[in-house]
Amino acid sequence: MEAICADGTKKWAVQTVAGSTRHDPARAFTDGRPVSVGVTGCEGQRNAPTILNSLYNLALFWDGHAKALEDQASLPIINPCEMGQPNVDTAVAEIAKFPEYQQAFPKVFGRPPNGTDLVRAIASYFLASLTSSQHKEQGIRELERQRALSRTDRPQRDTPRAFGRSRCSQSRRAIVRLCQPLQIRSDISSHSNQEGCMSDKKTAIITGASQGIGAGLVEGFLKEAYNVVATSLEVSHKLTASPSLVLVDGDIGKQETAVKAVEAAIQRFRKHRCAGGEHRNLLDQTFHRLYYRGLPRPGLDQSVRIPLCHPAQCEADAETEIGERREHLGSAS
Amino acid sequence: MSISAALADRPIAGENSSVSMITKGGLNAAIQNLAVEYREDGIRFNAVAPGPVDTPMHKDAAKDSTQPVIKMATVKDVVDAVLYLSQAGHVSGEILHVDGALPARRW
Repeated sequence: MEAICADGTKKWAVQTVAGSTRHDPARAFTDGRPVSVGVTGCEGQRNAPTILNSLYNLALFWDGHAKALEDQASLPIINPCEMGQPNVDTAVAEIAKFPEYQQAFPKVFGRPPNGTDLVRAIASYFLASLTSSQHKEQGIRELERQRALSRTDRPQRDTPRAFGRSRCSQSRRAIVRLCQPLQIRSDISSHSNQEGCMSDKKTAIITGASQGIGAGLVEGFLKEAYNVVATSLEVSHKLTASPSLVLVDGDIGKQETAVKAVEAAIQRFRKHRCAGGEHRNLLDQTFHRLYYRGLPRPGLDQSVRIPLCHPAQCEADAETEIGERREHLGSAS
Repeated sequence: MSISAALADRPIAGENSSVSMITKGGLNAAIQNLAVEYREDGIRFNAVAPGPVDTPMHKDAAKDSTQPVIKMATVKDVVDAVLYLSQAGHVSGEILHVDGALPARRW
């Protein structure tokens, strides 16, 4: 894990796998071009945004069409005007030809190169890409401020616009722990939703949500401070997602849509149930479920996205986290 | 929580809904049975059964007429009922009609 996250992933994500220098560290993790050029010489429609501070983003790409860092990591691979691979598996096959990755994947993920781990590794690299340690401290202070607000009357979107150039996908949330490069997240898509996870809100899944009674129910439940997963054929065209509202397009007559809706509710709004005792009042409850250490953990089903840490590990993490926060806060002040 | 229809058990003259109400009536039956089956698990099942609601589905329906007027419910009327049931911890297996006492008019 250390080998890939500290060095290998960076080289791999930025240079080798990307097939270009689209996110060149020497150019602030951009390519410095007016519009990006793909592997076939095809010019894209936009320039390459920096990946710095990606962990603060609620949505990704310039137009915000990707909601998770995995998407930001995987979509360029199969975009014909970027890396031009027919699918992720093809990219995996290319990567698997490199001896260092043949060794690194089993070491980090416990299995040979595969698409899931490829995307996860790149996404984790994004998470570790921050502009400076100062931002970590700034993030810690912001996190502490949000904790204090969450215990009183917390406004919905109140934090200052802080990091980097403003754009539609820019978020101001901070989960400082994710800056640690040696931790791989298990639930990356929920990184931007601390709002619902930190509160005691209930969650409602509403079908047929794009109009009529369904749309009214979405509005009504949000007003009642519920978290809402809204689904219908084209709900994303009719409603706008927010920290308390997840949109799932699909036909509810198909089982896969129901599964997606439930998974979205679990991913975004599930409360952490691992740490207990006095630490629950001191720590972000989402903290432990956002990453896990020491992959893989036999016997744990990662697909259900449950908190992956053992309770004893959570307690240990809690102690470490509290100490680190105090240390950072002390040095910052 | 399901959205059923008042017509399932309160038919109205002029509204020929016998076929479509097969599903709504079945839904009501399922709600009431599921409420009993999962009572021990603390899972509640309820339905809201609205009459005509002012939604895009009824955008062409007359809201005023010289004929006996069926006052449409608003979406908020339905939402209020759903929110009530969602918070009513000891209410389960209920079909809550939101139809403005439509049958009382005996069309």
